[in-house]
Amino acid sequence: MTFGLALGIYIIFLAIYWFFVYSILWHLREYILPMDYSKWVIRGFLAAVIILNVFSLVLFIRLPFQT
Amino acid sequence: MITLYPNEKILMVVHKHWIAFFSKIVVVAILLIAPITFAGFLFETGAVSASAIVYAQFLAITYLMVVMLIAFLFWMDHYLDIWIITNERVIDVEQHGLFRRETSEFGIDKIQDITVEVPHMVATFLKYGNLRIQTAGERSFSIKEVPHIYEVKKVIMDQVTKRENVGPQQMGAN
Repeated sequence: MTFGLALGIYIIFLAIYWFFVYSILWHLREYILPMDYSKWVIRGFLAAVIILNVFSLVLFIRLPFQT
Repeated sequence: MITLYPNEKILMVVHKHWIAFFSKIVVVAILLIAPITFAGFLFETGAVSASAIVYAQFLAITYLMVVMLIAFLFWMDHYLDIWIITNERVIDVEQHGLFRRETSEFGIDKIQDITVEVPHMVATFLKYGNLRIQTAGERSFSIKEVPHIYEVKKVIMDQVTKRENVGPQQMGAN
């Protein structure tokens, strides 16, 4: 697979992924009740997702593509 | 967004018991464990090139991202399935997946009967059950797998009794 094609697929994947993340966060922001544990779950999830995304990006750049 | 009336106070917020979430935790655990087992088997069978390891790492991280999203979606579904009991009404919010949501409510003064059901042995030990509320309308509302079910019933019944004794006008003013 060429780098261009892989990059295209990867960008589409990330766009769909962050659309879902944003949708979940929108729901929670809209309906969350104050003073409960949920904000810590949300923060934990967001931190994990951002870290995994950075790792994923780094590994994507390191992938050996055909030239 | 749930908007409260003036003088309305939230008395209790009821989420489903964690047992309702348990099957979803099992699904996420299987999704996490299965590829680890598969990868271990794959790497044991033969020599793997350096480029294959980078590909495998990339796929593993991407897969983990997807599993994290699924887990969070499950949690959101569980968290947003709630009953909000106030001194004026009971609000029943049901989240179905990511984009479908049902919100219904009924006034405390419309409540005619509350039925508590503890369906089986596990429910007895873990202290949860199903609650069905019959209202003056034809519809009945039910919530399944409620923790501290008798406490929930008591909170609602206290409000019903107060309303019957004091009357709706005075209740709103308090």
